[in-house]
Amino acid sequence: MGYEAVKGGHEAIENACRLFVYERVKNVKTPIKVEQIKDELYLLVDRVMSEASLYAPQLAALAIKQAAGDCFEAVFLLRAYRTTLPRLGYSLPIDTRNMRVIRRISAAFKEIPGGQILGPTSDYTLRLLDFTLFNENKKTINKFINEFLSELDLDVEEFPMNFPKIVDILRNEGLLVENFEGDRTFSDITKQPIIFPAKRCEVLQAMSRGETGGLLLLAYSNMRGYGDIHPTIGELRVGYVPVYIKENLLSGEVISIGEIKVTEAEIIAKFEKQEGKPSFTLGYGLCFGHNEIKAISMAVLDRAMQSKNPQMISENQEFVLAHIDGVESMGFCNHYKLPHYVTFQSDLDRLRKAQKEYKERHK
Amino acid sequence: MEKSEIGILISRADRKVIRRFRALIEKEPIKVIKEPTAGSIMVTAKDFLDVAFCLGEVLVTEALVEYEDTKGYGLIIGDEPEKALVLAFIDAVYKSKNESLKKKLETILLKTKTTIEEKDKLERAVISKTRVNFEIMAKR
Repeated sequence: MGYEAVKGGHEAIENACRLFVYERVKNVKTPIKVEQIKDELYLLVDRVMSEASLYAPQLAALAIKQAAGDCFEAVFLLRAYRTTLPRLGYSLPIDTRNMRVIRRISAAFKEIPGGQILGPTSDYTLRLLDFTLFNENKKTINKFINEFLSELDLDVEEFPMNFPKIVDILRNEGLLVENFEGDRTFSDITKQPIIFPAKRCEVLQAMSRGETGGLLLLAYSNMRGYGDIHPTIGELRVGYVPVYIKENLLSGEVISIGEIKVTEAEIIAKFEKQEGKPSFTLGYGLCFGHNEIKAISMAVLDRAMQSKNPQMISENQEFVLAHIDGVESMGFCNHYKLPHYVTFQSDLDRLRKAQKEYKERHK
Repeated sequence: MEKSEIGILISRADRKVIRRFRALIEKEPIKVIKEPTAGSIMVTAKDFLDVAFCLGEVLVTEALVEYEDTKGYGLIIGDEPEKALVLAFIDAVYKSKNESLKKKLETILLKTKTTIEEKDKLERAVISKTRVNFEIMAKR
């Protein structure tokens, strides 16, 4: 049986694209402003920027609106936009010690220098729906803000500008593994694809742009027992870090270009012997925006993939890194919706032939 | 003021401040060599082992100007053509011999710094309300 390739459907495709827009706007009385998405849905904006690997809050909010709230699609839009930008260079490494902290906690120590700062978090809410939000308006918002700020003590002299890092304290006490036997050289996976075994910088870059759900799934498998790193959060910090570049066009000066919000997680894992000396091992997570689940999952997977004798999926570097990119995985999933008429016809042919042979054998 | 910190100040400055710089620029013979253009910078970071890696790109705007035969460069996070031009202008003036204009710019920059410090103070006051004070529940 022969088969034919087909073309066409151009008009239907164009109409389907327009219908997608129509579905979003057909019942809208007041369109959501991109600015509103940026301000009110900031955690979603952060997630989209992080997974798209482009820090651009305004454009991430636009992508969310255009994608009608589909996070995968919004990430795809922003990642695609990223490819249109000329790359002007690399920043100097950001230093999270200089972070303007808005949240900083440790699950390892009760008393930490600078204190535990809970910051803006939903961790301690009762997860009861707040029905008053149905009627939220400018007046109710102002009332809340005025009440909240009226109780403020502006004498914040003793509140630190920056906070010391917990791992530095452990390091100074000689409790951490310091040696790294892998490849420390620098490369960029947007310029050169990963060749396994991946370098440490490639592992961290791939995870920092990974899809939150994918990272969580693999890290969760390890946490539940398909792995044995037993993580404790040494420190989780969220805040704004300055970005500096070496300006090479004119003078070669170091200049600041602004600041970005990031989440950093450092997890302390079970101790191992290093040259006979038992020391704690660490896992590291850092991503754009405020996304604690992503940073913690990244840190857990980082540590899991350092296992000397990988047994579990979360310890298998190639498995983890090949399955965490949201744009790749959603793209592969979505491609199944495209016409597979030719390959399916081939399957049908083979099945019919196999059935014919079966019937002949069982006459 | 550290020149390397000016970028952060301009980045965090509000539109009103930028308009003040613009008003200064408009009076000066500025030649725009490169109009503000969007691009990206790959942000790098270092982990606890001091291994450098790419965190992701950041949208930036770049501009290049010339003032009194001195070139000035502006690069700023975001889609910020106006701020990129202002930064390039400040850079050129700081490198030029025009001390009186430099002083004028510095006055606005210092005022901007104070405003941002006030904002940070409020932010720290809000954040400090969430600092945990542990109480000992029972003495052993």
